[in-house]
Amino acid sequence: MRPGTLCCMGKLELVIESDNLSIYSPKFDGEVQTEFEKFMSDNGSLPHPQLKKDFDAIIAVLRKMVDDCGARENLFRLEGRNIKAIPLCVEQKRSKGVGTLRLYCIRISEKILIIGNGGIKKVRKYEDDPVLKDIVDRLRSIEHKIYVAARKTKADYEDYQEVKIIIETITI
Amino acid sequence: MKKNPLFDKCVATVAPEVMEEVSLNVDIANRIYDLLKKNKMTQREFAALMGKRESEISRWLTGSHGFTTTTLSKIAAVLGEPVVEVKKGPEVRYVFVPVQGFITPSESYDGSYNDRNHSYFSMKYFN
Repeated sequence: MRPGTLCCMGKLELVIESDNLSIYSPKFDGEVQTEFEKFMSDNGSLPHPQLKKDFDAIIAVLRKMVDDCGARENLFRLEGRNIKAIPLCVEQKRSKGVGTLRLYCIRISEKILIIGNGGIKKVRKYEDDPVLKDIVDRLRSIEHKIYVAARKTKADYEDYQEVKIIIETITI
Repeated sequence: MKKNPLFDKCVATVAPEVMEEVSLNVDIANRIYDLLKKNKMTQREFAALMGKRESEISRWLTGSHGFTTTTLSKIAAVLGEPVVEVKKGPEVRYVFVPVQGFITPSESYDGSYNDRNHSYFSMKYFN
């Protein structure tokens, strides 16, 4: 799909579930993998050690949230309006020009996370990279649809069961 | 409960030291956040007390910052409670428990007893 287009339809698929957290990810019509699975497939074997460590850090944070603390609100990087990024909770010296790995998401509550796709960010703002901008714009569109559906049913984002029904039935 | 094989495969390749570092950084961030809530302190107020910008505090709370012991000590002083504690080794303690009218069986006597009406026994435990 070309960057800058927002035409695909699909659903939000449950990818991981534990007592602490349910992770959903968009799966567009005709695709075999969810957006999160695509991120893992595309970035799981990056050759540069700095980016490999970024990837490991992202996976480790998600593991921590799933096994332990859930999607606590303080843990997310703010990327503009309601879109967040998974933080990189490791220290490392960064070489110029290599970039930083980003994975974008929507935090619904401490118990529900919707993970989209991401990539290597070599620009100052994601809006300056058409691929990253497209990823964030698609997530923003999904977030808006959930918001409208929740408002219609007067569902509280903190009400796990109510929001789960919206997320699992919505067309994105 | 639902697992994802691709995610589990990625987790298996994460270096143990990265897993530990992330876990510790997240725990510290969550602890600071909880202490702020407990003290009913905003991030802005905390930033002012720490002499930092609010954006820096925000970054601290995501777990992306590696703290020095100096900074952790200052945070503890500002928030009134330790952020991290070092586990201490086991400590042997003796407790003398007064037992009214207790008569010790002779084979368990350890020299702690004074008279029949106010007897004591000693108990060794590990802290």
